[in-house]
Amino acid sequence: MARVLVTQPLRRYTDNLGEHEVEGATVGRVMRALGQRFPELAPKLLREDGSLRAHIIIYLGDRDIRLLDGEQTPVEAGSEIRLFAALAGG
Amino acid sequence: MKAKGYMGRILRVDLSTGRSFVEELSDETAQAFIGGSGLGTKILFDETNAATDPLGPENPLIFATGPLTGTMLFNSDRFDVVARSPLTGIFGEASAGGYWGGKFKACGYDALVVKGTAEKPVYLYIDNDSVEIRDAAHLWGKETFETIEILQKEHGSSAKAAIIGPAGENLVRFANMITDGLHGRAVGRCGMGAVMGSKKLKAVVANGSRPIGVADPEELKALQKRLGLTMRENPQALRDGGTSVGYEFCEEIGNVPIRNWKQGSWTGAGKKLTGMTLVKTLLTDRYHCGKCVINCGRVVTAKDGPYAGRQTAGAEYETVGLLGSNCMIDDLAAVQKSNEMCNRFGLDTISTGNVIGFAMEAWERGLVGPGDTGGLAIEWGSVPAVHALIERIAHRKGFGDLLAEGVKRAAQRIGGDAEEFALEVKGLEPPAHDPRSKFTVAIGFATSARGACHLSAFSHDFEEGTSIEDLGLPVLTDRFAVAGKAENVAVMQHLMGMFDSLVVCKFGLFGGLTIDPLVEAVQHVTGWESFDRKRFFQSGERIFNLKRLYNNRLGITARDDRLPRRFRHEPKGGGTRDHLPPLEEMLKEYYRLRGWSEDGTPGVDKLRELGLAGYAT
Repeated sequence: MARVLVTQPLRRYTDNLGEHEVEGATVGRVMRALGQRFPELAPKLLREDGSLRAHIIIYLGDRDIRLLDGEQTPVEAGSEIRLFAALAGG
Repeated sequence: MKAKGYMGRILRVDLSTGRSFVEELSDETAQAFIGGSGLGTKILFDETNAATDPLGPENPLIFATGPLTGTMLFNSDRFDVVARSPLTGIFGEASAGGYWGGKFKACGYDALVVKGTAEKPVYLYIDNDSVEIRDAAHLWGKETFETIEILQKEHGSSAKAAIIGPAGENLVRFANMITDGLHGRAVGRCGMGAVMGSKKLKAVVANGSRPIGVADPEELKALQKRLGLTMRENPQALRDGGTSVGYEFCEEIGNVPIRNWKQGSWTGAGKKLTGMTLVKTLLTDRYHCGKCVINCGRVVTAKDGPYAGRQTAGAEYETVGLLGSNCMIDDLAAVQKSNEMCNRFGLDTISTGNVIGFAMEAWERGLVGPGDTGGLAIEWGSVPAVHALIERIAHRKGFGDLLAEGVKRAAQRIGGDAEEFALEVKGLEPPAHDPRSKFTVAIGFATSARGACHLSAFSHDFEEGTSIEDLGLPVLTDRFAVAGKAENVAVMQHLMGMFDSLVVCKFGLFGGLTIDPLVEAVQHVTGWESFDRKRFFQSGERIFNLKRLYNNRLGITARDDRLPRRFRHEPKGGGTRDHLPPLEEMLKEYYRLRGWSEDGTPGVDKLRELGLAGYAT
């Protein structure tokens, strides 16, 4: 079970709660499970084929998963996954 | 000056006479116009008219700090520069982070106003006790990096300099100023570097150490402590990936410019140009401005050229967009090289990328050829062409001399149908945010005082379900919807006017430095006990309307609040899904909400409400 932390700007899609326990062996699976639990979040997280979109930046621990194995990054029990809304520069 | 946070003094320098003097900044002016952008706007309004030549001695070059600049508050070492723009001919401003703002204010001044023109190149040296106009013969002609190194040898590393490069000296209309040397914080837009160059002013060196008074330091400290966790944690993605951390997302939603804004998507380019790719392939360190814990700045080690092996500023989102995908270049190392060149020469990367993309399309359409370009083939995706053009623009050589005039003038001179693909609003080329992708951007571009600007409303990150907690407006969830957009942009423009006047970095919003904490910060710093949300937003609205009055006086009306043809009539597919912003419909509502006439002029009642009746034209 991973602990998914949702930063404030995205909480309106997760019942205004910032912390969720979600099952999944990889980051991708955790995100798909989260998307099923919160259908409003799903289109931001996932493409129609279930792959991850770039709209939300995902961290495992203190690392962006793009520096790891992307959605194939393995998730251990008790791992912390954080979700940030992607920014459009300045 | 009774209020704390201010130094209560404006430094005036006349480079024609060599004279400098200090005038008081009154409590009345500070309360009405705050500082930074607001103060600069008031000075510009009071001291110029339609006859003021942007490159002439009477155009004041105003460097303005705000009451929060240099205090302990997060993100507060910024400053704003205001002048009549030589690129657009109207209101011009740009702001920068780094460390110069706090260092200048600590000399004992809230603002510096430079007028006149020196007989030969000079630089200003300002510290706690002296204001000196010094000979800059040994600096003139030098690039920005070299200049900062010479100045630091002469004055020590604690001195901070705002400098121009060859582009400013050559009066390139979109020349910038660079502060913080190789870290390349830029007073980027509107050609403020050209105004400085027109005065033969190479640099302003600030080396102050006076304390900045705070009315209630304990309460400010407590606020800082409350913000500390969110300021450090919430912007982590921005810290790790930089301002282009969301580049892939931006390509997916059609936000980025591709092929002079014509193309809707470019498969694979988003991943190649995104901030994480920069992290994996080029990044060697991070950089933060004064008082900032976000650390969004990128540091890369230059691979070749005169600064090979040295750490220099990494490319930001705007640069990646305009000098990358806009020119059909998806090689991040090449874009980084372009960034370094622009910083060394002192060129705004946004305008430079737009004008080169325009040139590439002109080449493709046969409107310019080898005879015009000196044999240089300006083809899409040509890195050698981009690098050659950057050099020629900065030095006004050959075809670069035409492009140095900006996209609007260049298109007028090229003729044919060039104006149809010369993207600008009021003469200012657009930043890397497509109004066809987000409709608040359409309103923001059309109505921003300085032209196509995403920062005057900063709405682009808050249009799809994310929001500023205490903004007090409904959350926008559909970037292609019309409802609510006009009000949202107007209120955001007031909010951003305050960020630019206080002067605080807008990225603080991502860490919790939102309206209520800012109001509290102003109370604790200035001692203005009656300063509240209402006064906060009213001040922002006053400043926005004064900028509008300034532009109205120069002939700007509703007919100028428009978007370029490509944004209005050319659907581009991709993530924009062929949407085109219904600007007229949104502007009608925008003017109504603002209390402006259909002609885009603030009404008498609105001006009276804001205390601007005396400024009506």
